Amino acid sequence: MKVSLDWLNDYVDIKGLAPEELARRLTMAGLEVKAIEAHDEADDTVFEAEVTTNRPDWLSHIGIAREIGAILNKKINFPETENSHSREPGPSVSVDIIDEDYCPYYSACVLEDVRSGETPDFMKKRLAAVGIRPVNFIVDITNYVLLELGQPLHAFDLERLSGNKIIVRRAKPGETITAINDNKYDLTASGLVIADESKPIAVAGVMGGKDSEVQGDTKNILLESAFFSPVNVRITSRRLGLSSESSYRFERRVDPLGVDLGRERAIYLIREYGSIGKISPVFSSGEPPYKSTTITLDIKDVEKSLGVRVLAKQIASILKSLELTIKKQTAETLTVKAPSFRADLSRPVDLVEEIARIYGYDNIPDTLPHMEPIYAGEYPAFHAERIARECLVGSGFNEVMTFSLIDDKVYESCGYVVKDGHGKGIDHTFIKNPQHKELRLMRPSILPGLMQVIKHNMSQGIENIQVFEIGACYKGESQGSLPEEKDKLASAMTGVVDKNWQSKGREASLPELKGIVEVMLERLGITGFEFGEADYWFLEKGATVSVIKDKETLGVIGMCSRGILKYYDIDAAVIAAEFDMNALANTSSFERVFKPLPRYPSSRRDIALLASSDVKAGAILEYIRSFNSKLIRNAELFDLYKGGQVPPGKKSLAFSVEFQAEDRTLASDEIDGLYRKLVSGLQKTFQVTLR
Amino acid sequence: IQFLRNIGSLPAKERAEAGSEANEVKRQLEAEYDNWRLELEGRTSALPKDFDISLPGIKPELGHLHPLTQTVQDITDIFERLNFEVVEGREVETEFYNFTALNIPLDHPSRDAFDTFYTEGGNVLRSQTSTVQIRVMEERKPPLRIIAPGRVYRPDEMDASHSFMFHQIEGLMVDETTTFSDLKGVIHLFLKELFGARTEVRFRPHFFPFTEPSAEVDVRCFICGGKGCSVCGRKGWLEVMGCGCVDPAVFDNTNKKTGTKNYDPKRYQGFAFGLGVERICMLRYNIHDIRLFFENDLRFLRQF
Repeated sequence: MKVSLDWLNDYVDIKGLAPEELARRLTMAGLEVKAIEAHDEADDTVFEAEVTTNRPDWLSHIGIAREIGAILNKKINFPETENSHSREPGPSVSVDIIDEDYCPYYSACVLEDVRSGETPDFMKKRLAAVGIRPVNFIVDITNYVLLELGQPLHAFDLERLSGNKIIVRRAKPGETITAINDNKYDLTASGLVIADESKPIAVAGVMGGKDSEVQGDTKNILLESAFFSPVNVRITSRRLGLSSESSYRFERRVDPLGVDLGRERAIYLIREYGSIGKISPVFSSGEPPYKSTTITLDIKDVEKSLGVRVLAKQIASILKSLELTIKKQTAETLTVKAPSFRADLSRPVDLVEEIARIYGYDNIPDTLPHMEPIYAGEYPAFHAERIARECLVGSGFNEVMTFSLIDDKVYESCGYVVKDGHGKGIDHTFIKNPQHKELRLMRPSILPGLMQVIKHNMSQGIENIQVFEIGACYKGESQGSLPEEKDKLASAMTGVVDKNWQSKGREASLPELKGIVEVMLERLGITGFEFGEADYWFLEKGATVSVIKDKETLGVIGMCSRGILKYYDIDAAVIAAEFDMNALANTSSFERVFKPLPRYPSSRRDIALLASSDVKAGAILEYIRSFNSKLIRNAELFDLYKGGQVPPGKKSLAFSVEFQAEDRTLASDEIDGLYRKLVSGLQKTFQVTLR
Repeated sequence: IQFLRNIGSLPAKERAEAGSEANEVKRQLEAEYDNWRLELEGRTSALPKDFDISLPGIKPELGHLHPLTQTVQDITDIFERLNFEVVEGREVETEFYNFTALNIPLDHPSRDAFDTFYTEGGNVLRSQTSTVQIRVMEERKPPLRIIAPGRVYRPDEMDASHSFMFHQIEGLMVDETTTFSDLKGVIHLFLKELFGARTEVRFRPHFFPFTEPSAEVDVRCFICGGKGCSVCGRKGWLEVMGCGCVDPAVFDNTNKKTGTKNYDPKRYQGFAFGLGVERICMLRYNIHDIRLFFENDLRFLRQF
């Protein structure tokens, strides 16, 4: 809301105050002044103030003047509204309110033989200062009163109205109106209109019709001033996509006692700067909906809420300065009545806020609360996430954050139809009013987001990319019930790792990511899991493993499918994994029980094998490890190659096996014997030969 | 050594001089001998003469936490030190939890500030994390000290300072005595821990439907020191968060929903506060475009 200081000065004396200081005082009282513009040609300064929705009374210069009066303890000069001119019955106009809920009070006056003057200079300047363009004498005055008192008014050309009845009713189906902004609107049955005997002449509280708009030479005017229900004006304004300075104020609730004042002020100004032949008595229907509420405040509640003792005298003085009337005052309580323009004051707590802000928030000291000790343990899920992040960051992965809303086309590219459970459907939730048309599916998986990140970074020339994200994924709503939300952990890598001037590095591969996952599972204390073959929509069939514990799949790791790479137009292998973070957190364990260190030395022997290409290395390793649980402590694969000296269709595998007993040092020949048995077992089981 | 042994046969005058000279030679011979022996044993450096100590270090590839995660962790750490508990909740919510329970009437202009995305099933994407606080109040009795970080959604046009998806952290404390001065003290402490001990803070009256009295909290602009610049919109102050005493209507709504008097406004008081994580992160690190957080360019992520 733009505020002219020159205008304000009519109602409260601010001449001696520098604009910056006034702006600061208003800001610290809750009316934030966002900008100060000097209008030197007009010898004026204009504030741009942010008016919060609970203070519609600040949407007028008199309202802001009142606030200044309260903050600075100054007298308010209310504008002249007395029209002692005698009222002569003219054309009889009656007002019929059909829907009282939507319009509790409607009033109008007929002004005959109006001679419009030139809009006075001071009015032109002030309207321009606050961003209202001049139209003609009558309209300028109605706008002036709007910005001065906060009461929207409308002037109709009486000659253009049919009949002598004003009907305040809901629109009839099929009715339309061309508003003063030259646009035509289809009125819906729930919108309130002002109508004459034949048609709507205004969208109530929003905008008048073009047809009955007052021109510079209009002689006979119907001047309307009313109270329209905030909810209905808001609904109508939204439905039509039409708003105005008037609807803005009606939506927030105008001062019920300001309706009559606004009308009389306009008449006063027309008489002052132009002339009116005959002014009719007021035609009205309904009552201004002012319910005078009394509020009883317990004085000690002020200190109880604010933590600072404000003396009863000061409390009373603050409330009085805000134009509340003190009805009763005892040692313990204060009973007050709020003025009609403060509908936001209805409860004791509302008074506490008024006292606090006029007292000055910065005058209230800082204290630390008394805190009853509460055991606030860390959620196990948070701890698991923290460890997972540490492992991934330590392994060279960068955390990313991608949007929860994604384009569902990627699912279609993989043969999934994202519809109501038909076809290979995905349980999903769609957004009805997305910001971007394509981003309307709530992501069931984080992998599409990671691919976008990889794509973006590749287009910047970055080839070695390792990223991860932990975040919510969403299932479907069935019959409007809330969708299940699960946290997932997803990671993806592409390019070369560990490349430096000493080493050529390694191409990102499935074992690379598998190893990182294994380390993470270890750190999470997850044991007893197995790898299995898996099928996952994003990943290549035959190059995907699942991690299973107790028959539950914790997650999958694999190479992104060719279809996905093509969809994202990525020309490199990408390895990805996605895990159910909630499941990981539930199966994790951070309890550790110390295991005594081995007392006897271990011995290492290597086994080099030639195996057929289709033999699974993992199976051989598993066989070796579980061959003799008492004497074989561990085994690792340390070499794998094909080609060169190795015959086609075969591969060479080398394992190192660690032999150790808990109760003795193993003798050489004992190890040899076990080694021979192991080799023989491998030969029989996997048809391998020793190299 | 032979010489040293025979030193006694020298005339007295020459004895001292000859002795010290002899000891010096003895020392040198011993040092040479030691060196020669160490070299034979291979314990001194047998480095090539052109050993290059300037060779670049081989840096292990350590990843980075996302700057928003780091900001959330820094903020939650401060509140955990004050015995607040971190909680999380769902992102897709009902209108009840996103508006009604928070005293935001559906047909009122105050609803405009909380514009939302709707799902096809008629639910909403939460526009603030206070929904989590309401759910916790329904499940627990006071006293309560919780802090809820999480994603929120508002249908704002994406530009350098707006994103339709962003992160908030909201806090709530309820106890028998929890005053406005307590709120000021806690927020003051928090902002000093976050931005530095010399941070200047001011509280401005504002309006939120779920708090009364309400305030917006500013810190003195650290770019211009308060003189006014483009970052602070020439105000000299940067708005960093909102807060206030819990409006009794919120307690009443909770009691109504649970059919209890657990949050009796006559017995309990509370305060709540909320901040935007992206905003805090952007102010701290002088990041000028919010979209960078979600673009995830590695050249951006690696700076933090």
